[in-house]
Amino acid sequence: MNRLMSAGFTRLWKNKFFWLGMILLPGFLAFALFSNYHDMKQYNFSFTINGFLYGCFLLIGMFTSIFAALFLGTEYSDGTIRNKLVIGHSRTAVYLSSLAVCFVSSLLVCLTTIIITYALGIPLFGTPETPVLTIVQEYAYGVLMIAALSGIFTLLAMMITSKSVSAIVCTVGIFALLFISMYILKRLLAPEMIEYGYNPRYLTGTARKVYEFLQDFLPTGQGMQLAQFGHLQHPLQACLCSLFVTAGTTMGGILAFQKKNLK
Amino acid sequence: MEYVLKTTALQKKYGSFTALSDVNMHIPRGAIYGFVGKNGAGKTTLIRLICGLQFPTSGEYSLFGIPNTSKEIVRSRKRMGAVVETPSIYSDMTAEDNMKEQYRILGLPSFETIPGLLELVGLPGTGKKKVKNFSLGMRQRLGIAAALAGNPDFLVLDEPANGLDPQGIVEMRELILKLNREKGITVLISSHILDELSRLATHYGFIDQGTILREISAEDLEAACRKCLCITVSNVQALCMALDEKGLEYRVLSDNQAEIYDTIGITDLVETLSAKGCIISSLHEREEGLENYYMNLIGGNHHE
Repeated sequence: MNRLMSAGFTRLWKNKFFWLGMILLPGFLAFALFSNYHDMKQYNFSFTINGFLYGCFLLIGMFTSIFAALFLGTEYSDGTIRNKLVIGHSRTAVYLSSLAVCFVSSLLVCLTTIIITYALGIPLFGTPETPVLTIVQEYAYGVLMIAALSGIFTLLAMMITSKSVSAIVCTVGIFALLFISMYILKRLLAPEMIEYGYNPRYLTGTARKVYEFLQDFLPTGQGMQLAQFGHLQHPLQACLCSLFVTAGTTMGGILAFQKKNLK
Repeated sequence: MEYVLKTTALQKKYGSFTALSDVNMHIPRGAIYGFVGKNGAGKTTLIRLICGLQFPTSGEYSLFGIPNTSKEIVRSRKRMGAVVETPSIYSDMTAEDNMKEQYRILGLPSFETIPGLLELVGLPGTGKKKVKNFSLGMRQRLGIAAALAGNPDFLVLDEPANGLDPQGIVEMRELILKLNREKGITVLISSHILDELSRLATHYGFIDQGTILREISAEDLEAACRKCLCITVSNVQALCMALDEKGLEYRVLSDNQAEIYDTIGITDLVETLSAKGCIISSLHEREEGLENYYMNLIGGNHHE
């Protein structure tokens, strides 16, 4: 498997979409930082760097999904996945090495975005108010979330042999997850009381618990929590969910890939 | 006999469609095995099975004596190289980068042999040109170079002449012969170009509708497709007497037709028969060849 990973990472450094992600995501955060700094100076608004510390976790899903579809889809479109199997690599090794490249690439894009956020954000807004240990802890949760995202999109990209279909499914998939998470967050943040009395859309009891669970279960839901609140509402549950999604998609993916007829 | 590949009652079904049925195939070590069959006969399906890209529905095969049901089959594949259908190469990389990628997958520590390998397949000096700008023939050559990267003992080539120009076909033939003779690589080639295959193969396997119709060595095939002289005469008895006098091997086909298997002097035969009052109405050389043999084998009424 080391050989496959070595080959995969070498290909990663030469992959245009990876470098596009390495520029676009940090670039977007840099733009947001400067834009807020401009508002702060012009309208005397108050901003801290805290609002940007976890922004990458909201955006990373878009990179992971499209990257997995294009990078792994090339293995099918160029037929190079056959080389790996013909010369005696096991299907499990091929799957796991693909997952590893997908995970590490997303991690690197996220890490670069975080470094840029600190490099630009501290001179503009000052140091974070949150204790370092808490920030590190939240980043660790974020890493698990990225693992879950990588698991989901590696599964899709390895199961769909057409690169273009894979790209469409993964893109639709990430936007579906984002919209679902956004809807759930909106419902959870709905106030209990509104101007005219009790808010009928306010979630209570089992319904609220189900929504909260779904928000913790979906990686995009976790990303939204980190970006919105700067922390996870139920860190233990969210971490277990990330581990479950990663393990479930990987085991399911390996089993399905083992039986897959390749051309 | 030691076999590199042996299949036993191999079957592959896609839903209700049977692509391969009860396939028994034997590729001896050191052979160039020509795998002959029309489109959709099951050639590529069988190649996909032995390359581990797909799994048999029933039956089994062994590679270097290791059955596919054993976990060791993965290890035996390390001694294989293959080009299945289209060459497996990254289109957005150069030829050299593709080879480096293949070397990494194989775990080869040095890239020193890459220029030599590219030269061997006729692809030296492609420089920074990306594979997407290569011709089909160039891609085919690069695919073969990648398949040769791990110094395989068994090379599987699915339609290797596809997309090659006439000179490329000749070069490909020379390369396969060189690999087989100098490095002792056993080669399985599936092809439609029977004439080309007949210049290479030491063994043949004929497949039709998912079933192996016959396996035959090139020597046996040559004997079966024996060259002969077909002669039509007015008096076949007179012909027989003349041929017996000369001690030649022949076969009488009808009252006025016969086949002569030995080499004869035509002028001499004409004079002898003329002396016996026998008139020759036609005389022509016939050689069955691989194509006729194949057509006869599949029934002759199948057309692609």
